[in-house]
Amino acid sequence: MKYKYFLFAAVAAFLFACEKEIEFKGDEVKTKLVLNGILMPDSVVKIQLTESRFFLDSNRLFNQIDDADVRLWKDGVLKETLQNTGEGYYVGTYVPREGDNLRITASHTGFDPVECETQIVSPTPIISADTTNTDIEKYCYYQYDEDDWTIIIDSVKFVIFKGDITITFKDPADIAGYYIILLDLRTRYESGNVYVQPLRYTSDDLVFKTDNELPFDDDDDFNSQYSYQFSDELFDGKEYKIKIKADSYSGYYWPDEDSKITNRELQVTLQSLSPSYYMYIKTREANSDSYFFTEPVQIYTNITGGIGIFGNYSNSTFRIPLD
Amino acid sequence: MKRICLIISIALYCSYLLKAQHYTISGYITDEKSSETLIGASVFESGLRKGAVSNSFGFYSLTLPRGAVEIRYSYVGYAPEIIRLDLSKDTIINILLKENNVLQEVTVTASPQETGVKGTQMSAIHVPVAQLKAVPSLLGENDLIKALQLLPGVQSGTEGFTGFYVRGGGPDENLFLLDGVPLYDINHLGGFFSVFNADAIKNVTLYKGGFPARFGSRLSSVLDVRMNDGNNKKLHGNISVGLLSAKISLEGPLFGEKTTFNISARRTYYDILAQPLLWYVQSENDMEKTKAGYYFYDLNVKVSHKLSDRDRLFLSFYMGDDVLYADVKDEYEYTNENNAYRDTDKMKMSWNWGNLLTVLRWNRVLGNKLFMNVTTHFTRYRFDLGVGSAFQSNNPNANNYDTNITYKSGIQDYSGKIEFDYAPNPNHDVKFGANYINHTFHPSVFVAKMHEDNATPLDTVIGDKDVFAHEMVAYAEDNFSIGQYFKINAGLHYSAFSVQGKFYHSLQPRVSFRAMLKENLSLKAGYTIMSQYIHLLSNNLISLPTDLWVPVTKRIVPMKSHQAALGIFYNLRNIADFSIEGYYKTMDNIIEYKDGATFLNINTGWEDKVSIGRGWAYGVEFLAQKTVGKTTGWVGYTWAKSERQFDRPGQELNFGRIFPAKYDRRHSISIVAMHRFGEKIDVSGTWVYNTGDCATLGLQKYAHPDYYSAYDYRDGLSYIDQRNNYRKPAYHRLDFGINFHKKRKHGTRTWNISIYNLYNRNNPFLILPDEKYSDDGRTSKKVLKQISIFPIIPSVSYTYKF
Repeated sequence: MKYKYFLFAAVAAFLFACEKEIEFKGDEVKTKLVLNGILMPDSVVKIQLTESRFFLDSNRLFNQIDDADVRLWKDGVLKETLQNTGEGYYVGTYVPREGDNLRITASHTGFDPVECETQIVSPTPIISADTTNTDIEKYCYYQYDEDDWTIIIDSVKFVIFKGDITITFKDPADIAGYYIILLDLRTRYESGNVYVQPLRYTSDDLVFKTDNELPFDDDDDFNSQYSYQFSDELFDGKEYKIKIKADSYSGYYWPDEDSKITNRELQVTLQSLSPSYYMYIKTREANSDSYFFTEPVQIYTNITGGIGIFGNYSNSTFRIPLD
Repeated sequence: MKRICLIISIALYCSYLLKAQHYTISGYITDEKSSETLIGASVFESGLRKGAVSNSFGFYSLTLPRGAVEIRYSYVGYAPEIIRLDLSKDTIINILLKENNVLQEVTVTASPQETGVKGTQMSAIHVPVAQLKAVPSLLGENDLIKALQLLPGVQSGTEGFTGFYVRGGGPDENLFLLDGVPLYDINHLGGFFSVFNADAIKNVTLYKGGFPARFGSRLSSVLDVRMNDGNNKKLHGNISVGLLSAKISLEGPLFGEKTTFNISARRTYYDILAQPLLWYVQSENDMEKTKAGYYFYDLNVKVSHKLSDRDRLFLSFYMGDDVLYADVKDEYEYTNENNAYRDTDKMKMSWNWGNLLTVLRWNRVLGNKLFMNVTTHFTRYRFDLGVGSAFQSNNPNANNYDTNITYKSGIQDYSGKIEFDYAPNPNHDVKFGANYINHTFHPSVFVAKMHEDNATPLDTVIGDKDVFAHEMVAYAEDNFSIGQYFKINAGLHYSAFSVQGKFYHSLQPRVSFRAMLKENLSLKAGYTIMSQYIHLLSNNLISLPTDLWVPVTKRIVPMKSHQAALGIFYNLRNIADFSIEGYYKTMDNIIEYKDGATFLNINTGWEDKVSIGRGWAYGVEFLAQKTVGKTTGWVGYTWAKSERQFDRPGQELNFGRIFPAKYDRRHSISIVAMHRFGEKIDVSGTWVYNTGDCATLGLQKYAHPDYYSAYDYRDGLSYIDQRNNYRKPAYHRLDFGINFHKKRKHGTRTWNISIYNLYNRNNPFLILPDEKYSDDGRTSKKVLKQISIFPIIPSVSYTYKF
């Protein structure tokens, strides 16, 4: 990573720069209604309305819009008016089904009315998921007092999971498919408690490379994340096997040390995303990775007349016993 | 009846004989003092009103009927020469023109013959080098590119940085030719200065449109720069010392008058001056030992040899590099368990980029009407960025390591070219030729070498593989007259490009038309199609030497442009020229980095980082120039618009919507004035105004979908409604320069004082949102911050010319 700073320093060295505050002289920026709603499987429709703010506005919080008229339309027919539950949230009673075309309209005095729509996606079943080269390692370490080097905390137990996971699924034909894979390590204790630990992973699979900028980073020796989005561009309508690698940095604290573990499972989740939600995730991630040498990234919005994202996802899970 | 037929036959035969009794006058037009060939000099027979222009090598050919002729040879800044003769056979006349001291004061930006009222060439500007040197400049460094950016239709990039934008085109759509050979990077210090050393240059012509068929390979402009051949009479030279650099130029005969040389060298010495200061600061503050600096240098060499009256040989060489370096060394000693140890920590960085160019040229006069030029060349641009760190210790428990990472990219060409100029009669000037270029592209490569105790050494190369390509060009054009009022330059340019098993080719018609409405008023029109097979990958924020040259591939198809232009040209009593031109240009298959893409990411091939789209630009350019008298200069105004759209599936930028190009500037004004008070003092000034550049800013913030309402103090997401949605404040600047000349025993010395940005305008370089904290640090407010890089900068330089 150092060379990037070198590069930046080199450029900066040229700039015997003079800084000053300037007045913004662009066109007047009118704030907009922000509608955010990511619909989840088996849940009622819930969205949040807030107000955007001018980028030079020093207020940290966003105004929540609680007295708007928010309506849910299904396949072009008004289904219900969503009820405000405070803090800008609006909730309905209808539980969406696969294939529903849902539209939300929202209006409030002082703002342009907004509308957005999404089609509820179907889950894509995981045909199989296998692990190889798995390894669960237990570590413990001690925390010391910096002054006299006495042990403050004795034996913090730490578990690391490593493994190669192959996931097979069939992409539906004639539909653009967008996905995210999530990995969780589920540990059940004799006490009945279940701890779910999200795992980071990496992959060399091409499907990830078309979508994710993985910056070369010589300070970090891993590029793992908790999730990568990808599209079916390379396997549209076909059965596809993805290989991922949960790396050594996926770990969790063992909180219930007095209780015995009864079993451990690796849960693989294949999340099918609506196109708009996929675009939002993709552009938002790219936006957060922006730095001096990159192009600024526009975060996708599908809210006509406003800003935000209205999308949905559907989960398909597969559990692999580890013990 | 037989008699009538006989008479007609005799008449036709006589007519044939009369027609056949045409003879050709040909030769070279050169400067009397230096024998430097003069490009674009006029040869005109006043009785018949027929004329010709000397070509890029000073050669001319004019075919006239037998009989008494009066030939007038003229060239800007030179006294005209008139030759009267009874033309009864093909004749060679090599003309030596004398510099005219009165006319030398003249500032002319358009050669009347080729680009002025009477020529067919439109959208082109011929720039005398004397004028370039007169334009006031940053730190006293005469700069060709900075001077050209003061002309209508030409835009600079971000102040101080790389960027040459012509009629709404991109920075890679310009062909920079040094002695007919492409230079891929023309910038020093990221664009503060160009690689063209004014002391080595003889002639400069910029084509913005109406491209003759002999030019191709780029969509938006051709800058044709010719180097001095060298004086064949006497050794001459000049030495110049400024705040930034020192220059030396020498020219003269070599082993007799037949061989001449010209050598110019320039080097900055900021690094040498700054190093003692750096060491002093380090020693005072007990800092790590640091050696750091930056310099650039240029070396231009040209040797020409006259093999015979018909044959000339030229060897041109250019080498220039920018070097930025830093070495940090930290040494410390310590004792552990009664053992003394010494550790050394080193960090280094070196960043080099530059061009190397070699040209071998052979000119041969094949006949009075036919001239041949054969050229072979090698050109290379390379960019190397190296970063390394090392740790060495005599402590056996220490972990010694040595790590070096190098990022490389570049391009190199081998080429062979043959060109002919054929002037069958005064009404036709035919040029035709062919060219082959072998390209090797090194898109981007990381080389990592790591050695560490108790670890396996690493020596690996990651990145795009070299790409090899072949480019072929053939062209033919004829500049012909139809009566006294109409003249047309029509031609065809054919180019082909073979890469990765893919073959692209393109036939590009070119036509320019001139109609004389009055003796001093003409209407011109032009239409050109251009094709381009290489791209420059460039980040939008600022252009850097890190920008990569890449070829078209199976996926990335060639760029293509159509440009139509219409203009009116007026000459006022040979004192001032006025022109107004309008143009409309479309550009297809242009590329830009995708959102978030960067050259630093080597996990993704460059083809995956770019989007393909299209652009269009249109505008009106006005130029008024006073060319004669003690006060000279010009006023230029441009109204222009340039837009882009990337809407192909999977390639969308700005979600497929149209957006303004980064350097879409609606209004540009430039005023350049020079005044000569006499032999000893002359002054010059320029004022430039541009509508602000575009930048992309998130003008609104909005809540995340997982916004926690009352307790969520995250700053929110940035809403960018479209690319380049913010217009920076306008750019304007006044520069002033004054020269004091004095004749000395062996030459003339000149003191130059220049002031850049005289009224200290803070022009925007970067605009950023920022957070400003109160003195106690408890509260803050958001502000818009402007960074400017060039305040008022006075400079002084000394030149001695002998």
